[in-house]
This record gives sequence, C-alpha cells and structure tokens, in this order.
Amino acid sequence: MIVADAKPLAEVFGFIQAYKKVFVLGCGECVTVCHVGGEKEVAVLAQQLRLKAKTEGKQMEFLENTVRRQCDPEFVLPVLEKLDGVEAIVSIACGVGVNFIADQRPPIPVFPGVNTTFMGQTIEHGEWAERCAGCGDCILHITGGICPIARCAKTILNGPCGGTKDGKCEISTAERSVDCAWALIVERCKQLGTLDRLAEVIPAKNWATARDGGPRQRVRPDLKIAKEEAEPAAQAPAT
Amino acid sequence: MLPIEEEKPDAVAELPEDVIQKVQRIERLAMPTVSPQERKRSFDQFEMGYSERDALKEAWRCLSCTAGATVNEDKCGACLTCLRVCPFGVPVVDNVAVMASEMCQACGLCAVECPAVAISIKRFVVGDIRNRIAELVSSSDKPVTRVEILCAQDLETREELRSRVVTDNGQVIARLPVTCAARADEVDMMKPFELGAETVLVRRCSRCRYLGADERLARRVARTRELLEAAGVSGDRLTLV
Repeated sequence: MIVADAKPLAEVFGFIQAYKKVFVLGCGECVTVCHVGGEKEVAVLAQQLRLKAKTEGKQMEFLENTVRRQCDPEFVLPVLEKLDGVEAIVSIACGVGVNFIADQRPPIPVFPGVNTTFMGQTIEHGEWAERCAGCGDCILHITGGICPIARCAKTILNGPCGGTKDGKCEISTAERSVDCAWALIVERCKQLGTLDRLAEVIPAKNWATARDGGPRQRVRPDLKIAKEEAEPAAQAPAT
Repeated sequence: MLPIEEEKPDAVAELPEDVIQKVQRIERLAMPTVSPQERKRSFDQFEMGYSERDALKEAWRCLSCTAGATVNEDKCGACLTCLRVCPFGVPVVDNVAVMASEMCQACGLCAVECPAVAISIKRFVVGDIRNRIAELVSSSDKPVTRVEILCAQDLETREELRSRVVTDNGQVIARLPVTCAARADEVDMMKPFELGAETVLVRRCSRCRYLGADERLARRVARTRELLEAAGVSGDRLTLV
C-alpha cells in the first residue's frame, strides 16, 4: 500500500488559518490502512484543528468526510459538488487525492494533510517498510523477489557495495537498523538455488521507465469505454 | 385445547475453547442467606438478596452474548486492525472483517481502533462518548472545568453509574461512566478541551478483564497528549489513572 505520515499540525494550520470554513477529507484505502487518513484520522485532525483555532482565537468551522477513494471521480465529485460555502480542503489522502481535487473546476484551494512517502508492506501492526519504488522495469525475478531499487540505499544492480557489514547497510544507525538488500538477495538466491543468475552482470538501468523519465501514464485501449458521439444536426428537407 | 406451537429461539453456538481460555473467569457471588438457626423459626424469606455493590458486581459477569461487534462492510477495508487487537481472537478477515457473534465479548476495542470507523457494538458506536460529554457539559448550570471518563466496572452504586455533573473542591466535574475505559478514543479525550474543560481524567478499572485493553488505552492516551501539545494544549492536562 501507499504509506504516508501526518504533516505537523502547525504546518497544516498554517495552510488554512486564513479561511473560515474548511473541509477535512479522508480516503478509505491506503491511508486508512496505515492509520493516517481514514475516517478516524479525519476526526482526529479536525478535532486538533478546532483546538488549535480556539487557542489562536480564530473562529473557524471544520467539516469532515471520508470517501472510498480520492483517485476516482465517482467518489470525489459528488462531494465537490456540495461544498456549500467551504473555502478550502485539507485532504489526508495520498498526494494523488490532492492532485485530483486540484484538477477540478471551479478551483478550490486544496492542501495536503499528510506527506506521502512510499509503497510498502506491513512489518507488524504500526510498522511499515518500503518495498517498491515503482521503477517500471521489474527485475525481481533475478533478485529472488527482493528489490535492489527500493531496498538498497544506493539502488545498485550488482551489489553489495563495500559498505555492507554483518548483513546491514552502512546507513544504519542506533535508532534504525537497515538490512543490506544485496545480502538479503544473495541469501535468498542461495535458498532458491538461483545464485548463478547473479553472476551475470545486470546492465545499467534504463531509468526512462521510472519517474526519472517524466510523469507516467498507462492507457489500456481494451478497457476504455467508447463515448457516445453527438448525432449530426438533422438537415431541412429540400423544397 | 388448541395446540400451541412452541417457538424455538435461535441457538447461539458454543463458545470455542480457545476463547474460553482468554475470558476472565469471575465466580458467581453466593447469595447471602439467613442462618439455619434463624430460619428454622419462621417462614420468612431466607435469601437476603445482594447489596447494591454486590448486585453490580454480579451484573458485570454478563458475557454480552450476541451483543458484540458488527461490521459495516461498505466501510471495512480489511486492514486487519481488528484481528490484531482483539483480545479474544474473534475477527476473521477475508474480503471484509467478520465477527462471530458467539465469540465476541463486546469489549469494544475493535470499534475504537478501526481506522475506518466500520465497527459498532450493540449499545455503543464510536462517537457515543464525546456526544455524551457534549450533552453533559451543555446541560450543566456552571461551566464544567473537568471531565472524567470512568470505567464503570469498579463503581459500587447505581448513583455512580449515571452520567452527572458534581461540584467538588471548587471544580465542576462532568463524570461519565463507560463500560470500558479503553473505549475512549483520541477525539473523546480532546473534545472536553474544546468545550472549555481545563483537565480530563480517564480512570481504568482495577482489574481489566479484556487482555491488552489496558495497554492499548495507555498508548492512545500517550498519543493524545502529543496531539494536544501540537494543538497548543498542554498534554499534562490529560491524565490516565
């Protein structure tokens, strides 16, 4: 899932303190699962904002709602069509939701309530770790399912580097121990019996398929729904 | 005489053994009786009945059969939170969470921890506590200075079981008994400050019968203190005892 962190409250309040009526909008998918942007966290953020407004001596009204997803129009547009005097939106969906709202007309100021960080998995309840960098050219079949783009600090393709020690990456600190992705890859390939595949040099990555190649888009012509064409205007009969 | 069709009630399944292991066993309170020497002298009732305190303790033995969690499938995102926090191993999560009614002990932890607010308990939904607090505060003649959320399992009189506003030592205190203090969520603990209270107290019972509920509550209170600090309210104004 996409994992995000709540922005500091002072920062979010700074975005919207000039407004009188603000909508806090949540999302029922990834940000719900990582406990930062679902209906419960909408209530928490709205309550914090009310308290902050009170301590700052500002009269502000905060509305709350959560939609199933903020990345599909069918869920978001009905909410945007009934804003009823709302002057600004704080979206605690991932950045996709903020962008989607910003694309709508008429424009309404929309601010991010979270910092969207990575695509990751649950390690245990309350802990998530990055597992995919969305590079667009997956090589997990070679590396035993362990991604050197997402999990190696240097994103090297023929590791490990000289910084690996006891299976840990040199970026590890006392607070955060980071596994060396290439140590994991080598161990995994040993278990799978595919170590010989690592002897072949993986060529330098073509990053054009990653975000480095510009904003990406995916089109599936087979899925697209044909739009009805307007009927040609009826011609007056010849007299 | 016309035959009367006997209506058979819906059967409630047996409580599974592994759930039984996790349920705190509370023995039935023996009914006090008049001594044999006394009761042989008259036809007076020999069962003396429970004191108010004992009657409340006996009532708390209720297992809340079929009064437990129900899931709003439209909101459930199968995030697995309920499965992980349930002290009794009740939820089964596939496309959505499913709660076996014969196993659920109605502690309410899943409802409070659900990030999608998709779970309710019979007689409790998330939001009840703050709504009750708001009603109590607005009904008070004097501005409430303190709100107390109290686990009802230790209370000893019917009077204490009622939500009420009392004056004590110059403080106007709104006292709210709840079935389990661990049902108080972050917004419940922040709301009183928005309503003008100066301090909030959350009081646990002396022996929580829901495994892990104490710890979840302690973490939630610690988080709420941080949320309050960020909002410009000193976290020390929220206490957990």
